[in-house]
Amino acid sequence: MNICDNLPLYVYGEMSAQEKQEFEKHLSECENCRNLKETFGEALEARTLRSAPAGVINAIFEKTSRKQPFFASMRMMKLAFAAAAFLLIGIGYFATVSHRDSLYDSYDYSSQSINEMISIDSDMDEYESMFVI
Amino acid sequence: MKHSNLNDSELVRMFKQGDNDAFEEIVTRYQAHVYTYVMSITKNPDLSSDIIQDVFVRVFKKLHKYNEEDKLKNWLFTLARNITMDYYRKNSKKLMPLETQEEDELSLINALPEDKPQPIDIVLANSRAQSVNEALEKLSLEERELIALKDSLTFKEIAEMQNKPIGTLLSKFNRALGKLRKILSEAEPEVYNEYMR
Repeated sequence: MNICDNLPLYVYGEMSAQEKQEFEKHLSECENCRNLKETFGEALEARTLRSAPAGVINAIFEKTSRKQPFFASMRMMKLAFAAAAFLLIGIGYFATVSHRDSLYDSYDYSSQSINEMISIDSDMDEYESMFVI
Repeated sequence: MKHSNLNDSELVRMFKQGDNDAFEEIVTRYQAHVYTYVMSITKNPDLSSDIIQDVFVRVFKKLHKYNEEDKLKNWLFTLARNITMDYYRKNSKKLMPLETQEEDELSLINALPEDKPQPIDIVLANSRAQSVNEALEKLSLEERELIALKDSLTFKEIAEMQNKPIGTLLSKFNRALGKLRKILSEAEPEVYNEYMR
């Protein structure tokens, strides 16, 4: 390999101390390498890393490290199901209770039935008095 | 522990132990390197954005099984290269380089905002940088790719990545540099003679 080909290694500092020393000697003798080294300097100066747009970085995080795990969403669904079931049971329970209340309400408190109840009581009083005597 | 203080191998190990912040540090550390590299091939910001998303999503999925922690950077560029080439194969029309000037390229007008006059040296430097960047765009895909990889990797690493001898890479690099020099001398002979002899 031609020693001139090693110029990039020299410019990028990828040579050992001894290689560097040898190449610097060559550089002092080779006009072509000196000229190319100038072009190198300009090219390196002009090169700058371009950062990806912030939205792209966020999109990467959303798709990877910050993605909601599948099982976590399953857990949320289970919770939602549990809440819905609880609600249905609750509604069912209260509907039944109010139905029972309506059963009590169906007792007949009319004056006729009250009189019947009083007459039973009075029969009992008579019975008791007979027994006591 | 601050993740930015950790080296690549430590980050990979922590990620394998379930630390997603370690992955985010890898993305933060290398996104600009990978984006610049992909841009040098596609010259298309939107496509490059899509590609780097693919690259890092794939890294996230495969990193658990990756055993060569010390070669993470190489692996990232290899993945980026393969994914970009896949895009090339599938959507060759979309990958036509943009004719319009890219947003972040420095122009003389950008270098001279009305409210902040800049020293003439900065203006000239920006103008020279623009000329060099334009000249770089005229190089072949392979040459652009090599120069872009050199922003992030050593010649030894590139040789390993591309499975080529270092000597071949150095010859190509010098050829690209010679071409760059010729393009610059033809485009702006005065500037070239003044600043680059």
